[in-house]
Amino acid sequence: MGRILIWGLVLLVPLPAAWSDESKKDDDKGLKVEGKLSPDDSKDKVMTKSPHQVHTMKMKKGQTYQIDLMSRAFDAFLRVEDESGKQLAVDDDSGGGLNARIYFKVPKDGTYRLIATSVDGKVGPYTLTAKAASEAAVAANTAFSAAQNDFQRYYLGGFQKLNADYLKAKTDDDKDKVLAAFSKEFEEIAARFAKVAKDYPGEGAGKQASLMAQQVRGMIPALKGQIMVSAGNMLRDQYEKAYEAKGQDADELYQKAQSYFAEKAKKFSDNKALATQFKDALYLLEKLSIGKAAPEIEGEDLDGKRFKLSDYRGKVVVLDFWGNW
Amino acid sequence: MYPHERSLVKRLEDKPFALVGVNSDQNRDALKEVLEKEHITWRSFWNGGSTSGPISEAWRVHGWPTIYVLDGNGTIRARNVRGEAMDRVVDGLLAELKSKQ
Repeated sequence: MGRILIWGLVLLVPLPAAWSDESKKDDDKGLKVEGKLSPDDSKDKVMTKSPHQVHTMKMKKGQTYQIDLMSRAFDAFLRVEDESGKQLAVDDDSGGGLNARIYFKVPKDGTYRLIATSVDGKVGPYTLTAKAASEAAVAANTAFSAAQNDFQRYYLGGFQKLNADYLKAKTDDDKDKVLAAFSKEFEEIAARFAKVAKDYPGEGAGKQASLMAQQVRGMIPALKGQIMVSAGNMLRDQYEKAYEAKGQDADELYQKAQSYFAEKAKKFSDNKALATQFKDALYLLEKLSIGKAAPEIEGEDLDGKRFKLSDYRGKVVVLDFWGNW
Repeated sequence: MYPHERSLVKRLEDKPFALVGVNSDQNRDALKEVLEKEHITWRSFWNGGSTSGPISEAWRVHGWPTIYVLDGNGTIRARNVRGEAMDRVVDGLLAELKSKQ
């Protein structure tokens, strides 16, 4: 199962790539194939455990094609080779979900090989399309991808550092500076998405960028809250360590953590989302931290029989919140 | 996850220890197959068929899996310990329990 946070605000999965604008008028006829990978097909030379099929297409130098491989039956893997079989481009998931997409700029006039195969060795129906991509579509996609990459890089790496900086900051002033730096960074990323949306309003990537700009801006208060909560949880961790070590300072550290959350909840009382984050953190400290009596659980087991957590009093209990998904 | 849980239960079968689950799967019937296949012998509370059921809400659980370790008095003594760390905590609490008898 791994460890999965069920908070709508935590973005663990990269958003799907911008969709292509279907209403574009193509000068080129393009290619559309409804095919079916079968176990009898010979194996691909890159995805060596997977069957593959080859479709050839004449292309003109300088033209860019958007090539999509879509399937509901398998994890699409798309390769482009020249006539001699030399690989020129490859893709796994740029088409959104498990679909593959390549923007292919044709290096010279000739016949090219578009190879449909799967990552997972599975077979089944697929659709392969290749159509001339307008310069605008390609530019929009490039700009969007660049903003997306920076966002992911910052969110996954920079944000952690920021959080650490906040915890290290000694004075309230320093802490506020860290939060201000974080807001600025996110606002800049949102602005980049907004620019793509403004520059390419008719393109799929432009529309996607508009959504991303909103989403990134929307994340700012919640993430700020998360950073501030983490500082309080650090105080909670200190209290819990002292508790287990039977230290004299345990009570004092508990009060410190408690005051921290209570003050923050009061300070941000007019911001419902933030106030809730602090109230929840306070609840976790007051009811569910180390040293507290576990709340009673009364419920049904998987056969429908009723039982209680307190039935296990006198035993050491590992309480495991789990799922097989 | 299951292998460690299984070995812990087996190792401590003669000790005052219990592994108790709170399960968030949607379908209890489909789960029965999993319980058999994975030899999950310990009891689980039914969280109402989702990750936002009544028990996980009461415990403010947002991350799955989440672990709490309770001592013989029902006091919370550890959170989100896994593998060897879980073993150490549990063994320590069992020793503590024994010394109080």
